Amino acid sequence: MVRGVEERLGRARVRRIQAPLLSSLVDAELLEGGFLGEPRRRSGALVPRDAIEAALSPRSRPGAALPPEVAARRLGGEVLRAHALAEVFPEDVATAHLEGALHVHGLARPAALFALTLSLDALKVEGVPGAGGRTPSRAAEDLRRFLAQVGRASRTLRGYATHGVGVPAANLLLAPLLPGNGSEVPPAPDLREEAWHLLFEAASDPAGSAAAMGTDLDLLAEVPACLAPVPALGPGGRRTGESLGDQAARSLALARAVVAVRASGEGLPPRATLPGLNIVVGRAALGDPRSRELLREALEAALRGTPIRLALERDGIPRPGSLLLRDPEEDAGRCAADGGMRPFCAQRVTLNLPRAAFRCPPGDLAGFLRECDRLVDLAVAAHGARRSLLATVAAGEGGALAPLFVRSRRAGGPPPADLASGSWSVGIIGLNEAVSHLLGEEFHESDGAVKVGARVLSYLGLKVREAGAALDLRVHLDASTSGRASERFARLDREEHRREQEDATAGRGHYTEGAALRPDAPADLLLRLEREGRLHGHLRTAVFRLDPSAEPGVSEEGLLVALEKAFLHTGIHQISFEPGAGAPGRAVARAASSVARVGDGARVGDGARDGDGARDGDGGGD
Amino acid sequence: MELEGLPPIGGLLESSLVHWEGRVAAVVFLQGCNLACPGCPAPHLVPRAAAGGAEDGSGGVVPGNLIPAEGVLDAVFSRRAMLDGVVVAGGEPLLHDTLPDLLEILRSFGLQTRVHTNGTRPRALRRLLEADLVDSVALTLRAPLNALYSVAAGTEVDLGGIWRSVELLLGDPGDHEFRVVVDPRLLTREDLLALGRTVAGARRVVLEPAARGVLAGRPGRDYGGSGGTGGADRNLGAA
Repeated sequence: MVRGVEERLGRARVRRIQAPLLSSLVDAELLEGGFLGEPRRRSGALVPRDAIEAALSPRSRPGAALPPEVAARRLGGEVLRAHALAEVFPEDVATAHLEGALHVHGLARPAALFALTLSLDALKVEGVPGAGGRTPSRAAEDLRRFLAQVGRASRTLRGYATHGVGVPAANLLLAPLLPGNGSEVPPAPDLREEAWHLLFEAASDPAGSAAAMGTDLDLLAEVPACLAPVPALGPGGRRTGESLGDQAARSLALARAVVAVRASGEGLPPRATLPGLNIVVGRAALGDPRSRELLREALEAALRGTPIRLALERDGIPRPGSLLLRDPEEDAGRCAADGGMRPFCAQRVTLNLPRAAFRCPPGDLAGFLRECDRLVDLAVAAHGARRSLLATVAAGEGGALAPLFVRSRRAGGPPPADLASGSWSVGIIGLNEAVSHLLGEEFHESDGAVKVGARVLSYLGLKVREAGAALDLRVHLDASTSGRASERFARLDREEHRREQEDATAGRGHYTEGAALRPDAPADLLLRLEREGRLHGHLRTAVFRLDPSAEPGVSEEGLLVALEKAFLHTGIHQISFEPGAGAPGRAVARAASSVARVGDGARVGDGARDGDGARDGDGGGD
Repeated sequence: MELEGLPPIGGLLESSLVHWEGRVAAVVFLQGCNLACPGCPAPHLVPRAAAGGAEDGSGGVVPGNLIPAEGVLDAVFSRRAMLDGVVVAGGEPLLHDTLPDLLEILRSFGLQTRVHTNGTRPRALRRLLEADLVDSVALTLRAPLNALYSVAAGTEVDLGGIWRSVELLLGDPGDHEFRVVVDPRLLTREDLLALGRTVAGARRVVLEPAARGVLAGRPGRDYGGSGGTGGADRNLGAA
């Protein structure tokens, strides 16, 4: 019987097989052999024994005790992952995921979204939604109570996201709640106290739960023109009579306090659990001495080891949601809308570009793009399947996503999120290695390689929009930062494309993230900025990582100059200052951090932000 | 572009955030130095002839493993949009009579220029300032201007020349910076204060830790107080 099954698989040229299909083939053999009266009903997912055993074993420290609650969540994640691959997604998508041609993120929590934003203005008006959005608490009448609500709301939202929760314009929207009118800047010690409470409330749980995922706070270094005339909402969600533009000085002072308190860490939870800080920099901020002071202090904090990210916004429109949710098409409208700035990304599917390249002979760019076409179609099909699932679970007041999608009765306002307004992400990994295979040169080695990379991204950008439009989905092309997906792709490619992979990666156990230059490439800061900047322009989100410790002797003034260069002369979206990330051993350090995160809550940069188990601890990697 | 009359280039740093604070600068290192500082951070640039080359007997340099000037200028030119300026360092760049030609070419790229000097060639420095070929000069001091200087420089030094260079910069309206190399095994707190008096009125003084100590046999010295010297900027001129 076993031979019979193997022969069937051989005839079908199937190299990997899902448990349910295998079970069905066994049934077929039993039936043909007369050992089974009728096929047994096979509903639900089968989880392989080794996956169960792995879920019950500590990953980071062999032999260490695994809390039963964490083990149960992991196992639940394994079951849901198997279920999603067997039942939710089309078979060709599931096969492509299992074979490593692409990576569907968040399979362990298929009913969750990829990334969410928390709108502070909406929270001011509506209070914190209760179970099913039916029993909201009262809108807060003072800043301290409001910050407690921010903590509660962000913890709630983190349960619905697999990658992260962003709080757009945190300093600007909190400023109207500070005592006094818009022209009064409270004393620095008072601001630091409020900053401390904000950071404390937004901190994640140490480890082991979905709430361990981080919250990102966006701090605006200026008041963008589109937000300046928006009425400021104060205590109880009432209009203060002033505009957000009137809050500029208080907003900036609060941002400086948040940076200072975050850098000192005094009395705060462990650093790994603290919220990420994204400082949104526009053109005006670069020319304003007060904004530059904030930037200088943030860069000084980065030099002392505080992870700081700078989002470069060149057109004056703040992209809400920090890393993932830059949504340039509708931002202007959203910013002005009541309770705006709460976009979300529903799902990300990351494409294995090196694999697509390895399937073509060197030089065959057209063949590579055809492979990419196939992958994009699969990724968008995965989005369509996920949308169907989300629509089901989001429906009705009792639905799993009800707090996000059901209108609050008390507030009577619009639902916190509209499924149709979400974006969908197609991520990429390993463009550098793909181009290296096709051209024989990496990005740092030739201008021609960057041109080919830009051409590929331009093509992919159009392709994902086109394929998304066919399903009425807003799909964007992003640089994926998932270290787990990168390592999984590289591991699976070693089996079938060992020679090509060794040529393209020189034996590294992972691919370069997104459209970045290889971290250990012999390229200086300017070359990296210039070359990655030309590629970032084709992506919705991408991160330029800069390790201050790799620039010995550099001062905050020097980093500020580098920031200005990046802003004015490149298309870089975001610079992430990550101490220790730029050294040649970066990938190793990041992988280690991902592992450590499960055990002790460690968090370094975005390497662990893959929307999978390492990030949210809810069921292991995909 | 005439490239034959340019000074010998021993190294190129395509971008730096630290050699000219507040600017992104390329750094061109010229070959050859007239000092033999024990803690020199770039000893390979000290010989007038690079490895594989030789002096021609007249003080000139026969190229060995030097970097072709054309390649250096190409690299700088291709990055001129991202660069603010170019720092010409050494070695001692003022040893080379053809330095003005190099600076002129770099200026023609639309870039600002800075020269890092040890101050021993005041006449050459005056010519550069008069010709308005530099936007900034950084002068490195290694000890107070007394007998200790020869110890710090590893050779006999014309202290009068350094004095004239210091006075030249203090009296010049252009940008300048004094960089004081601090080696605790050589300098005392009093030495630093004496240096502070020497450069009193300077626009900017940077304390720079010695690259590495090879001043064998000299005991460590205590500066007193708790402040460190590790690269922090201090305005000694105001002290």
